[in-house]
Amino acid sequence: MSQGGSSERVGFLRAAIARIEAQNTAGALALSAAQGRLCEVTPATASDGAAACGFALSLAIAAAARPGLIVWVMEDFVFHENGAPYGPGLHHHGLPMERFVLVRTEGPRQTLWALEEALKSRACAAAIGELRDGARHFDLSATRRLTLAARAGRSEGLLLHTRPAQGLSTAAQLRFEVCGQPGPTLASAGGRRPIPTQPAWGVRVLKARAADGQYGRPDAERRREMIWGRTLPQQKGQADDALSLGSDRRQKLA
Amino acid sequence: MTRYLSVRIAGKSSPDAPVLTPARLADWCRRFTPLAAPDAPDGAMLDITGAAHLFGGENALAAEIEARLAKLGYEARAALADTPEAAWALARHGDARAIPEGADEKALRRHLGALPVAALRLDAQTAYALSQTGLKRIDDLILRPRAPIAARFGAEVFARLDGLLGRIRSPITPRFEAPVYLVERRFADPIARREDVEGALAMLAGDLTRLLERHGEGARQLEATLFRADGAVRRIAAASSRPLREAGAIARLFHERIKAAGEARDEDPLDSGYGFDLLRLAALEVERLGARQDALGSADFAPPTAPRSRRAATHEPAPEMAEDLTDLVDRLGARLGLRRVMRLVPQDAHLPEFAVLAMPAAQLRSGGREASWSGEIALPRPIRMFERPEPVEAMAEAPDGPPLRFRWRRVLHEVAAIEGPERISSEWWRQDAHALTRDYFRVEDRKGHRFWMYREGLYGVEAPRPRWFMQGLFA
Repeated sequence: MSQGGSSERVGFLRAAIARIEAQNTAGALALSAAQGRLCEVTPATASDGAAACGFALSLAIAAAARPGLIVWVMEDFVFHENGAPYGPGLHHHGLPMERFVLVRTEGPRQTLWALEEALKSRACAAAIGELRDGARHFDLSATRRLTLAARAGRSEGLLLHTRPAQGLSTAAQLRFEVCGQPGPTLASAGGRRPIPTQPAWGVRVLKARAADGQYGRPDAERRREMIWGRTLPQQKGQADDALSLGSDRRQKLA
Repeated sequence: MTRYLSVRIAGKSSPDAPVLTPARLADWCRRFTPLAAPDAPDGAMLDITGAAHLFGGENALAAEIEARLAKLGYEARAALADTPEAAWALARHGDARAIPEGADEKALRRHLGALPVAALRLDAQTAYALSQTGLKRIDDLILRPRAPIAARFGAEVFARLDGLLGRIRSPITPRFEAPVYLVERRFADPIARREDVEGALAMLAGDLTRLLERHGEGARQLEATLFRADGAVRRIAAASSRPLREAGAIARLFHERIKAAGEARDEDPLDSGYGFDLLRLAALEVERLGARQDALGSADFAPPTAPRSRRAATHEPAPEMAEDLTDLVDRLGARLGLRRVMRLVPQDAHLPEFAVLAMPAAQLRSGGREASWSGEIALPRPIRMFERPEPVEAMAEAPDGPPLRFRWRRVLHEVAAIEGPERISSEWWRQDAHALTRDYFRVEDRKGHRFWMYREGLYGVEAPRPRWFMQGLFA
């Protein structure tokens, strides 16, 4: 790979991010989601699970611009231990609930199977697979299968790790590391502590594989702050209610 | 005119014959007719109306049953009659194999009159008491005046006698309902390999599909019955969330069911042993399904752009996608269990844990009467919720104030931003005596993690020292 080509790709990603920041549309992060791809989302620390989950859901919501189901596969252990998906909250987060299907499995083998079935079925816009000990089960061949399934079904595959995963070797095109981030707040009366508003995450892009020449090498050190706003019909008037990258927005809101 | 066949196991002829309870015998007998009832303690009752000719006539059928059971190691006797009682009596106490169809009472008396009163299926005590009084044979009873005997031995005696003579009808209770449609395949050599069984099921699915097509119906509930050569019967059920009429889809459902069985036991999923000599596929529940419109007119002839773009705008799944969609739900459900593939349906309830209900996705119909999520967004709610709220150690400035910091799962969190309280109490009409009022807080800690926690009980009113719980996590 020549120096020029590499910087070109970095340039492309920067351009893409710039576009996201400029257009402020939820779907813009879906760089090549239309062809089907596999993304990984890992929490930065053990307590960032909910943040990673929220970010993965946001990617799923972005993919839900296409018709099809949104499937969330999780094993029983995760269901009991990390909290069950809560309908009203998912609805509030922006997930189209009438297209949402929750699948519970008994273990990692079933989770991988169900995820693959969902991805290749052509009935899914996005499928989230949540695994504990993900690093053990999401190996190269398993994720390669999932990638092919996602391509075949033109769906967005999301591997959600419940715990920080080191030394991952997977065939996923994108890997995000997510941590919690103090979100924009509203001042409250009487000098009391402020009121939390929208979710925010710090996201590092650890991997963006140039499989089809669309991504460049990511700047793995850079932590982007993302603020998630609801993109619901009655909320559309508010300009900041969209997936946004960059820190300038925060000051505007605060 | 109905026809009944009674099978009675007299005893084992071989010491290593498999255990054959009446229920298992009835299951085994379903290879001859779908209507088979266990007949405790030692037999089964079959309704073979219209089925005997498939086996070369009644005598041949009875002989085949006896021969097959003999091969399994049992001495059995089969007898036929127009009433279950007569068949029962004949199988146990008679010499004849059958009472001819449509025999009148006189003919019945000729066949059954000489049998002992025990053939009436009375309990041993009554039968003994009857024989002590000299009423040894059925003929003796027929000729006597009824009232004194009924007064002494109970009305049951004559109820049985009337049943025996066909004066009253007594139905049998089959172990399983007769399926709506049924196809089967018999094998001269039993098949044991899983691939062969699945292949045979696929062929049966083809037969069933043709049957369903002719009647304009689709199957919702399916059952495959595998009859093992040594008498064991294995049943595999599968359900579909839409009326199904594609052989491929039916075969795939059973493929997943068999695979799931293998996963659960980690061995030969079919337990095929000596192999299966009869495979049967039945549609237990069907629904009307109009003739299918094939490619013609859908993709090729309709203008492709206009309807598609409209669909994309409303997120309505295209019809071909709707089919993929139900197929996916069915396939996941077949392998994992229908209750594990769920959709979340909102409920009208105050307490957050009751505000949503997980329903099996296969049960939900599009355009059903379930509540929808389309209402406007109320207050923020967490994306994940714990099944049981987890206790939290919280420190607050005032006992009824918001927390300053809290310890949850052994980690100390400093509160940076907070909103609350949102007061939620359970509905007054619920008889939930110990339900305390909850004050919910939306909390963000310094690291940017967001929580939903509540204080249970109003300070000083409901609880002297309210406790804190973590109920959910925000994104």
